[in-house]
Amino acid sequence: MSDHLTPGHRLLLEFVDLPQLIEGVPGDADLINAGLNSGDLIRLALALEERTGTPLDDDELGALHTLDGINQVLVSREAAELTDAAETAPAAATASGEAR
Amino acid sequence: MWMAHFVKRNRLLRPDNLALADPNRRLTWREFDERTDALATALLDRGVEKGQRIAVSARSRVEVLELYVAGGKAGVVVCPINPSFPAPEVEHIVRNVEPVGVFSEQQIFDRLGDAFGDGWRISIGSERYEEMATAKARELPLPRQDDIFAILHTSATTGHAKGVAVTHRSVSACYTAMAAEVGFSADDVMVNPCPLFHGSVVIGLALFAAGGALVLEPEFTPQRWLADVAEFKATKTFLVPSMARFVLRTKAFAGADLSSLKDIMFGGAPMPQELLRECLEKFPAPMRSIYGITEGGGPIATHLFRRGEWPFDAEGTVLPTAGRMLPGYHIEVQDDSGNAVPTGDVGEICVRGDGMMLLYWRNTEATAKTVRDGWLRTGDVGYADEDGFLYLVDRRNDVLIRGGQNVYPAEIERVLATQPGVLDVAVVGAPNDEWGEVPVAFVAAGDEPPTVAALIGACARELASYKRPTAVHFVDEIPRNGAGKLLRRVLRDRLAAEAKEAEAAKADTADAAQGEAATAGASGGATGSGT
Repeated sequence: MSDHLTPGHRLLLEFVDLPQLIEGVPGDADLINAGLNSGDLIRLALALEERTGTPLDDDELGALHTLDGINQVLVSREAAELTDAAETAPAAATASGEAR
Repeated sequence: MWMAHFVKRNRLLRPDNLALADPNRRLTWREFDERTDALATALLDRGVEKGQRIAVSARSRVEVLELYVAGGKAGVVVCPINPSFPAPEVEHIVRNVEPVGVFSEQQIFDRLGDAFGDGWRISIGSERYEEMATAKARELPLPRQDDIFAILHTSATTGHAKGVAVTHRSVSACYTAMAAEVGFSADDVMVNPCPLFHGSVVIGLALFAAGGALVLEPEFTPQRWLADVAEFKATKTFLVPSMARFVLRTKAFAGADLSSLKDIMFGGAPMPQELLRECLEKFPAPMRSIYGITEGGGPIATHLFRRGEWPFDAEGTVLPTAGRMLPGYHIEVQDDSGNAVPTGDVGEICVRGDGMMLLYWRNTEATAKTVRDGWLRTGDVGYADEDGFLYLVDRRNDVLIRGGQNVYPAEIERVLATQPGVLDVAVVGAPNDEWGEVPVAFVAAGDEPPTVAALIGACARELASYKRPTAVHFVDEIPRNGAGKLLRRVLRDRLAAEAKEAEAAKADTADAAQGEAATAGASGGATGSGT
């Protein structure tokens, strides 16, 4: 079943006290209205920061109130990581070239 | 008269200073006074009479405090309602206080409309609201100090919330105490991440009355709290221990500018010793415990914890004192008959003073049990040492505190007991690193037991999210004594034993893993040196 879940849904399942509450919740539904505790979302935010190593900004924090928003944050953070990696790779190559 | 008085005074002393802020609005004292005068007049012009109730249900925002103060100026009683409450909890409060009208946010009306009863409804932030807040104001008669200012609902042993009626005098007593002991002044800025329906609202009101600025946060996030402290150069704040833990864990903490903070107040739940130590190491300000009870008018005792100072011993162990009595709040440890016990003996913590609630709204029986001979009996069991430091050791009632919010098991048991297949039920608090305590349910079921999802679903429909059990254990029988009295201690002990076993199993697994790693390392090394 978890194969059908979005990454955001899977991540959220790790942090909610009561996973039953998010079964069948539409992607655009407010998770607090769906019954989640605000603490669940704080734990999710901290985990996202831990995973990516950088603080979440206001827009990202606001987006965590829906499953679609969580997916969006995950996607944009992954994209940012890829960009960072792409930007640092040539620099690293140059640096190592200079060192040689 | 308190609301009208302190706002007027601050308007005269510092009209252009910042009084109140949220992410969308900032008001000076002049603006705040004008808008609350207008709202108070508009309330009376709508036909609301002195002593009648209005309900306010919204996340923390400037308008919520406007309505509290406007109600106070008009002599109308304000009844805050947790905006995340599901319909049954709202309906109970509405039945209890019978508000003539409700102020809320449109999305809350959309979700709960009928639950608010038959009174008029005004959406906060709507044109109609703004018309009221900018209407022509009249000079209004000053309410009396002993008029009821607000009815705050708290969880109760009966399974339904009780309304704590607090007077203007009660709120002003909190100001007097905090100004004298904590030094609240017009130079202070307080970031308040706690909801305004919570008993801790009186702390914010006390700082506000001192002429300081109050910064409201619609909901707590550790990142927003850090940003607000830096932006507004906050000198004071109030956190429940779970919030402090989250702040310390967020990535933004490392680079945050908290240099303006002078006093970090904490309360609402017991502070774990290791967390207090960490706070003192990492926050640039001392930590002030606030021990209080909504029925007592908020804070009743305090202590300022500083790094390296008493009550820490050489090993860093802290004496878990709740502090000493605040000025105006006389505390005594009493036996069941209401007699003071000798210093050091354990009894019930009782308090007397102007901060005390007037009564439980429409609940004379509960009032008589809680207020006896002029003393408010807190339900907390503890002792005082020779210097007057209080130490809490137990509770007389079954309340558990999750993240600063009181939860009585009876409320959850009432919901679970009515579910099909449930024969008997008990709820107890289980220790939890993040929240202090969480509710855990034990259910004895018949031949067709309910599913956990069904039980949790029922709680989700009827109870606020913080009251929902985080686990359900099915048992053959709920332990009761010969008289049928529930033996919660047996269930708490069972949870404690299970937690201990899980801890031991975790340690064994870690040891085994370490052993395997050591063996692998040793054999790897041997192989390496062998080749």
